[in-house]
Amino acid sequence: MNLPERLTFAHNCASTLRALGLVREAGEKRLLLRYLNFDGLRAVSPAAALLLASEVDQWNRTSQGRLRASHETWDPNVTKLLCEMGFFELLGIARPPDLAATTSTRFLPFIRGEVHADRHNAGERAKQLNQAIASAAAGADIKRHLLFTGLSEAITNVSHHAYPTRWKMRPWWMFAAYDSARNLVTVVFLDHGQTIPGTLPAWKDLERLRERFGVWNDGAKIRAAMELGRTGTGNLGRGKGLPDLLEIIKAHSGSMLRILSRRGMLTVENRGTEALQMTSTSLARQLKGTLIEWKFVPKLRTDETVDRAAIL
Amino acid sequence: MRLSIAQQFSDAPWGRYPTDGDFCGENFREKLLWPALQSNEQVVVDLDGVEGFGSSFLDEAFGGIVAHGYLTGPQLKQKLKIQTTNPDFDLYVRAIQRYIDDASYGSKKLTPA
Repeated sequence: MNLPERLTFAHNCASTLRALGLVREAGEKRLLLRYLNFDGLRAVSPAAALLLASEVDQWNRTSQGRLRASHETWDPNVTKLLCEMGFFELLGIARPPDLAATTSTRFLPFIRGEVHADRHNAGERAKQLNQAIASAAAGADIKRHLLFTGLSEAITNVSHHAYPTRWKMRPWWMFAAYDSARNLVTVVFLDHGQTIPGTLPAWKDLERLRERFGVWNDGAKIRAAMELGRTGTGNLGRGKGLPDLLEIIKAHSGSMLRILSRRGMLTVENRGTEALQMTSTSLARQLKGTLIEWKFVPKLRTDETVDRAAIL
Repeated sequence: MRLSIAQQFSDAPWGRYPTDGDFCGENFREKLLWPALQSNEQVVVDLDGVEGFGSSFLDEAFGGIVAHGYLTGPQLKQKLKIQTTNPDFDLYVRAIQRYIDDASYGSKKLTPA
């Protein structure tokens, strides 16, 4: 199977979802998928990389055998991302001794958890990712408590709503990257569950929102869940913890939250004005699950000398 | 009486119910907070040292005292003091006040595990 030139939700969303959807389909239908061809892949975003890793991770667990891939002909920056995030271990291939990448981004190993099976240490895992981000972005003032608020509530939402109890596997994944040149932190959380639009209850307050939005596509549904959670009205369930995802965005001007779920995408931006800007759109292809991506620029600690060599 | 969540419970609490995890809001309420409130005139809950909080944990732990009919909101506010030396944690102090105010007295029943 060939991957497209760019795997990214910001610029090539439909092709990205199509390609990664095919990997999921192969696993679900137990189709023979032997080889992933990364040769044409020139750019991959952290969010798309986590979705790719999750698909291969699930494929490994549900299918006999292992996907093959050979990194010798890959783009160096793509190789660096996939190597650092732990993707090589998923493919069972050795890490290259040297990475010829030019990117200023450090990618942290992704973390996989499982609903209920992971009940003793899901909070610890969120803390572990937090610590790794703070260490990678050593010169930046990371609001760790707000990241923990978002991640722990994302895990709680998955635990309560994403998966029916009859599903054998109920995984979630999280991943982070720090671009030292742009001082940009990216954190991604993902599940393969029933999606936010798919789990919204039929509820009269939702109907009122439906009238307000005019269009009732999956993007509008995600936005409605977020807005109902913010107003705190009723007992919506899935929407209740969603406002926690906004805390890290509120604290950083120029930051962004993106949620993809089924055929909807919600983007929330902090442009430095008083109100957050919310944009919801409908996607041509569906994501079977929910992906949450935070991007923010932390303040730099000016009173410390940052050893960039140590960071990279 | 002083209760430190980080020292006496967990420095990474999360989740609402025991099905989420051991260090959830319900376990904190049932194992530490409510017993402390029952046997003391004043309980100071110290938030320092914790990685952070999600709203599910805080709502279940503190709003749950009212929602489960243990105390009314005003009774709880009289007995409970939330303490932190971390200015970043002020949002959690405000959230706890809000969850106590918003909780409907006796609206929930504890489901045995």
